Amino acid sequence: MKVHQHVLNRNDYDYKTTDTFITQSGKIQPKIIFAGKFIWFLLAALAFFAYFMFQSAWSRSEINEGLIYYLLMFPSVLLVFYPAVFGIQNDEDNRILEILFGIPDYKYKVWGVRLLMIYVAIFFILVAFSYLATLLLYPVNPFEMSIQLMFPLAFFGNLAFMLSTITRSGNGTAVLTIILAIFLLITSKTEMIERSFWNILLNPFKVPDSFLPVIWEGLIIKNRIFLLIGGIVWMMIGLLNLQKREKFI
Amino acid sequence: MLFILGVTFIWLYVDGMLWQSAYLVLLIFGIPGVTYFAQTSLRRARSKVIDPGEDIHISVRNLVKIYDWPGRISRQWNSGLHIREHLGLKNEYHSLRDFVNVLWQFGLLLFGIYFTWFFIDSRLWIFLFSFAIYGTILSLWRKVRQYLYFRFADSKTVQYANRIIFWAIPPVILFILFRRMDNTGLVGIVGVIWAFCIAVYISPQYLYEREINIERIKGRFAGLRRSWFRLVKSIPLVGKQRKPFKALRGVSFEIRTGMSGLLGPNGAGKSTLMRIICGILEQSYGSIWINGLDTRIYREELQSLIGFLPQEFGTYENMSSWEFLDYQAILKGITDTTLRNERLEYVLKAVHMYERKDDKIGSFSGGMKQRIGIALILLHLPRILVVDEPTTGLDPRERIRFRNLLVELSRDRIVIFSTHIIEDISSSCSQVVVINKGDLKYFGDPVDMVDMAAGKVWQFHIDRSAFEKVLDKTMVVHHIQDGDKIQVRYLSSGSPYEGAVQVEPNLEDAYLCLLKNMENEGASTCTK
Repeated sequence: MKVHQHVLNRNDYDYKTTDTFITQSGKIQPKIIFAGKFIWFLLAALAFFAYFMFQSAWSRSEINEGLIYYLLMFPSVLLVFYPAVFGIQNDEDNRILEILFGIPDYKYKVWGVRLLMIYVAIFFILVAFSYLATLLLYPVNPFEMSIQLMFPLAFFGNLAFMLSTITRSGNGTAVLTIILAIFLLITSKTEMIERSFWNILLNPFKVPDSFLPVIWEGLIIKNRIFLLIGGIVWMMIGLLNLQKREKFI
Repeated sequence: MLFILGVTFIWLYVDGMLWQSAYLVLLIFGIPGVTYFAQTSLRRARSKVIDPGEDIHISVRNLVKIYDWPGRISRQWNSGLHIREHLGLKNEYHSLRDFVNVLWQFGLLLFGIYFTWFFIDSRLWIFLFSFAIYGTILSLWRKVRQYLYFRFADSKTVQYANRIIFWAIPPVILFILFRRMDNTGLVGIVGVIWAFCIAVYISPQYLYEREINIERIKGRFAGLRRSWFRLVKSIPLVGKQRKPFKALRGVSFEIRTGMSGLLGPNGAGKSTLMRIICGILEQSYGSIWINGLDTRIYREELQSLIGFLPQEFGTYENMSSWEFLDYQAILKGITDTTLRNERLEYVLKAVHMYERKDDKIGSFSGGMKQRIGIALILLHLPRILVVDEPTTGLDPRERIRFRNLLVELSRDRIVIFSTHIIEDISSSCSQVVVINKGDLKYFGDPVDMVDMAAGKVWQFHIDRSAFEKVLDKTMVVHHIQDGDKIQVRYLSSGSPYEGAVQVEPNLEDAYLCLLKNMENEGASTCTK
């Protein structure tokens, strides 16, 4: 069998612009990331959100942007949970990890792009949820609400991703992530952390009493910087762990 | 720059000598640490690390791979203990006199017992010290047990006493806690958790010492026991006691442009060797150099030059073959849509799967999935192609087609492939490496390998009854029924049977000679 020479030209392929790559692989990756089970998490998130909204309205609690932010926190964590926690496990189950390890820069092209896709998808879902909250409860700016939610979400999602590269097991990661989430929830209520920028669940829409707006805004900015840097650090640790291919085989 | 800025910041904003020192230390270690972390985490593949015009050459030097090797810290720690043992410095308890130096520990234990359970009133400290007492009792009992095992070797009484003491201590301590702490619920929970921890601690040792295969457990509550052992094994750090296994034992050879075959029986170490070359596994000792670049240092950078098709691989079953290959082509950098479609069409036609391009991979047979795997490696054709038993599951026609394709590809790249099938090597490879049980048996030209079996291959006819009784079956290359007799092709240094004639050896004979370690018998030598 003759091999077409032009197809075998060593310099045939070149690395085009990153956005072309992301656009193209972005069309296929969601099928892998969200295969099968994600729809259930989406429905669960919607169900929880609907329930929380109904409960807030029923109990006649004060409805404002701060409350909407709290209501959206749990559903958004649920949305990021499955793809971040089970991403590695699903590839292991498919026994495709060895194939992926053969791809140059697989860390960025596969898992980097997947994380990006996850956050983009969840951002738009949150916009939809925020819009729903606007219609049913209280008018909020959907985009502002979603952007503010993306900070703790990216922190938490990248933390789950990092844990998945350490445990290499979906169930193990899920257990650890839940324990950490409970721990963060408890610590965020303590006096020392509640009003500091270390509070991961800091609500930018709920200004505490006797807090100067200027100081509060400074605090929010510090908090968002902390969450952003934290998220980046978790992601880089996860990408570093992905270099240790032997542990995954 | 960062350091100067950091020092200025500390000088201007930080109060107190202690905090200034702490931040300074953090700065000194932090800046290089963070730089190293960022550089390591963000390493990228670079195909230009080797000049595209340069021929590729792989040099493997003294490669050793040990699976389930203890970590570096464990190895260093244990080697220190072995040195102490070797020098006779290890504390051994073989007579009562050896306990003289540790008598004070027994005294301390007695004091601890009095202090914890008879003196202090604080429940918290009773609770905490109880566990300290438990640890102390266990460590002291270990010393006493060593003496008893030495003095009364093989004594069943001592073994039973050991078990009774080991299992009795926690209930006794729990009972004392129950009496002192006045909190039944807490003691109950602690008891359950404690029992669980002990069970988790001893189960892996039990599996390891008795070399139990979990799947083969039978008898009463077999299902429950299997589930328990599986659960214990999945617990990280504690769950699995590992026996180191040497898969490769100092293998050295060179590979140049062309087709290289890796030959060896199951479990020889072929897949291990290929994975180490591809950078998926890391070697325990030894080096691999690709054009002078150490693969240990340049692992990430060399990734773009190596393509690997494993022996067993999975695919995304819910995707069609076109979608899957399309995705892989994008990942490999073929972002031009026209070129990519052209390439996909070519590779699918090359493996005769173009008609099924829209069918889901989940619906394919094993041979079809293997062909998709072959199509995968044809997508971007790296300069080093490593394929692990690629012809498994293919019919002879497909096998020959694929072999011919690999030969064509090997004109300007290195192709390494492993196989059990001798014809694949004899008809296509310019170099062959034979491995058995981690040892290199031969590397060089297949033609020279055949010469090793010269004078060792015999052919003769034999009765069926004699065939069953007289011959060593492991030396039979093949046998054919020929009327009443059986025609046998046999390996032997001397004439194995009356009327045996020497025949010209082939590659299969030479391979079997190597596996039987017959290569050094007579004048022939093994390696080139």
